[in-house]
Amino acid sequence: MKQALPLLLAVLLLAGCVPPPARVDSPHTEAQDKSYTIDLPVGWIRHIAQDGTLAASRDGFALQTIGIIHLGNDKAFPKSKKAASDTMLPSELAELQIAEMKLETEQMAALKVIENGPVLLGGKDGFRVRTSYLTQRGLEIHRVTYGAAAKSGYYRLEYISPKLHYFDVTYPDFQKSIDSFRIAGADKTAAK
Amino acid sequence: MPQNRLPRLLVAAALLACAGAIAAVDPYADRESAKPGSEEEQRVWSQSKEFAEAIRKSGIAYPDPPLTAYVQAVMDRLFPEFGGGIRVQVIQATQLNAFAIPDGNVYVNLGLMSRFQNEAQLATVLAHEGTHFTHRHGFRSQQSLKGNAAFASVTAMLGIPIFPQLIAVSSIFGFSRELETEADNVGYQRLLRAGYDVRESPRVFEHLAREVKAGDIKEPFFFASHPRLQERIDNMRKLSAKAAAGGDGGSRADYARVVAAARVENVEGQLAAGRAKSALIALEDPDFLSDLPPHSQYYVGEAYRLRGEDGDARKSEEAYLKAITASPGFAPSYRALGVHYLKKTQYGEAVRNLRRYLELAPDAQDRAYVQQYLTIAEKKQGGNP
Amino acid sequence: MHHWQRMAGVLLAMAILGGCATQVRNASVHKSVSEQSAQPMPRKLLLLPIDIRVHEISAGGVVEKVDDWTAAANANANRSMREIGQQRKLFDLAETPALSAADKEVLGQHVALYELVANSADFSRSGPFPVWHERARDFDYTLGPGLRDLAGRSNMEAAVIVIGSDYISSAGRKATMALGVLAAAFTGVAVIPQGGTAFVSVGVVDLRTGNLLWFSTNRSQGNDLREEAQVHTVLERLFDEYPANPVTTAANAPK
Repeated sequence: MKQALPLLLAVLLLAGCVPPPARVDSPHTEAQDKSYTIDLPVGWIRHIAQDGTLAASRDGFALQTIGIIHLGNDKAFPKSKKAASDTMLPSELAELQIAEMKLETEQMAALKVIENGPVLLGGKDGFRVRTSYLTQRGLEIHRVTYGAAAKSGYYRLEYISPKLHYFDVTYPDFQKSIDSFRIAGADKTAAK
Repeated sequence: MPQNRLPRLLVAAALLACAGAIAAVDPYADRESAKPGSEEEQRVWSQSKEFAEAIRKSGIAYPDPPLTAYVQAVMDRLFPEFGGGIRVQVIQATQLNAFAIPDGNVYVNLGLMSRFQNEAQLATVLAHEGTHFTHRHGFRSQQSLKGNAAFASVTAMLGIPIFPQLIAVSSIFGFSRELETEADNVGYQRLLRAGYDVRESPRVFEHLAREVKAGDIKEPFFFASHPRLQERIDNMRKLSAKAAAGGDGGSRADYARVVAAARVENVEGQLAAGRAKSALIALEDPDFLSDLPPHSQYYVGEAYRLRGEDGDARKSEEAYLKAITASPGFAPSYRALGVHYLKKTQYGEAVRNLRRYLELAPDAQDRAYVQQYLTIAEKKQGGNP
Repeated sequence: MHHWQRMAGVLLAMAILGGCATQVRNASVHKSVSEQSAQPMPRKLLLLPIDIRVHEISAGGVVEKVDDWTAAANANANRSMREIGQQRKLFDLAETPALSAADKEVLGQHVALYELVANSADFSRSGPFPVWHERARDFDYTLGPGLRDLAGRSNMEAAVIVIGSDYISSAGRKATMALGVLAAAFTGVAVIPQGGTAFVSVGVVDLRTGNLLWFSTNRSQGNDLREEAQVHTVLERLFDEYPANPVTTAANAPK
């Protein structure tokens, strides 16, 4: 019984009114706020946080995580207190996203940018950034971040995994999810 | 209240609650004697070694052997009887921070290294941090905290034990007032003995206090709160009030040569982390800027662009143009200017600068962006490329 | 900290607390082994350095790793592993051979990865969510084939990795637990030690494929890993479910 209270607190903290984690049997997934749709990899396990953040993993969040978050443009970069806008150039959005990641923890200050380029994400001009960092045990973690800003807000999709073995194994699943991602109401707006 | 400040404030409160209950132990006299004096102290050293190993493995040490050797030499000059037993490492972090851990490892952030004006100022901070080690402040603080129930609650909120409490306390909040004052006093004597110009001692803290104030910096580290920083200034002013002129380490130019590459690295790190205001505090100082390479007006331009206040767009354009004049072969200035003109719908100028960037940096990581922007500018320009 | 990292931190806290509430002891067998009953577990196992850390939690909640206690726990586990292997005729243990710096680096990276794999496997089996339990039944956790060359050079098929922790607590520590869980939500860091909780996990890794052939954990209240007899008891329980034992080869799912 002594453990019951903290466990209950944890459950309340995590769960709130969100659905319990579930296996992805049908890939098509719609955001809680209906702002986007995406196909998640079948067989992975999906968690939804109270704020609508979607996270999915096949083997465990430490081994691979796909995360999707939709934020208001004015709350896109809370650490640096910067806003996103659908008029920003993709490189400017990427720059703000990299800064945000570098501000996450002291360790992330040494984050290395491996690739950085423009993409079309969910029908909007956006960016794709691949970064890497080391854990305290010296294990190299790679992180691929896609981002785009629309009038309806800032969309960030990420894939995080240890470079050793895991990154390459499940990256194609993430790429399929990226290809399926659609922002509700977004036109195909290639670079103007 | 921002949620990440809450744990810090609670720990600060806990530290205040336990101040004054710090057990005295004899300081280490030399390298031979610098060992754990008890099983309890051994635990603290063991924790420190793991922390040092985590720093090494996580790749955040700044990889510049000549700079590391230089900083180590200053520490050895201050603590000759410890003969290399106090090991200094520069960390790739832009905050104004330095800290010592109980086994004799001292860490100085690149941000702080970059902002010292001369070697005597560096020596002031190293003498202070070295004293935290020689006087076993980490161990003494740990002992006083072990019985403090309030501390248990708040350290849990910092995610301990992954981040050892000891390190959290010494690096984030500083030690108690009593131990900080001891580090000031003993450190000052070290500076005198080593022949440094002790008049620089208050100046380093005054100079940094101005930066903290001007930049509205709320760093969670060495200069965490104004009262603590003000205590350092007051102490150092008192100590050096009757100091005679002279002493070593006052040359700005000598120090600038040693940290030239580190300063550029730090400015780039500040800009990459979006810390434009912090970067501008240094970059708007003509003396600081004159010590940087000729293309450094590019960083000034980037800092204004990122800050984005009224008039900053014009200032950034001027700075990019100055950078191109001073260093015509430095590619990033052309990209920055090209993007600036693209946003101002000056497409001809945009095309000219973006093309020049791609000529000078054909393998640039951001080539795809620039190619995309060039295509847009060419289309808008209405003519063929 | 990204949202999903914080989410994962809270999940891990829940798994730890859930595990603490009852004594969890079970084993999982890699499906490549369990699906082919003819495939024997390797006989000769490379014993990688045992990493059991024993800490003391002070009245004020300060957690300190104690080197002497840690050394004692590791020596206890080393002796027990040998005895269990010989007495039950399960395996012969060999110490890690002298390795080049490059091989040491490769091995170190894989041990770091193993910790993440073991945590993930443990969470899927022992965490609070049934959907993850289902995932654990299809047990195919792996480190990948990165150790194949090392296996060839050391002439070893498989390695056994023992990790664990023990928190020797003083009174009053438990009162901080509730706050600690809340802290996990703030920080995403969710390892909250509780006095008296001993945790040991053992994994057997096929060095050629990286597959986690067998994995078992024991999380218990009241076992003190500084004591040789208690370490032996914990490890014996774990190896009750080793595939060579016909009674328990089917024990592949969380209970």
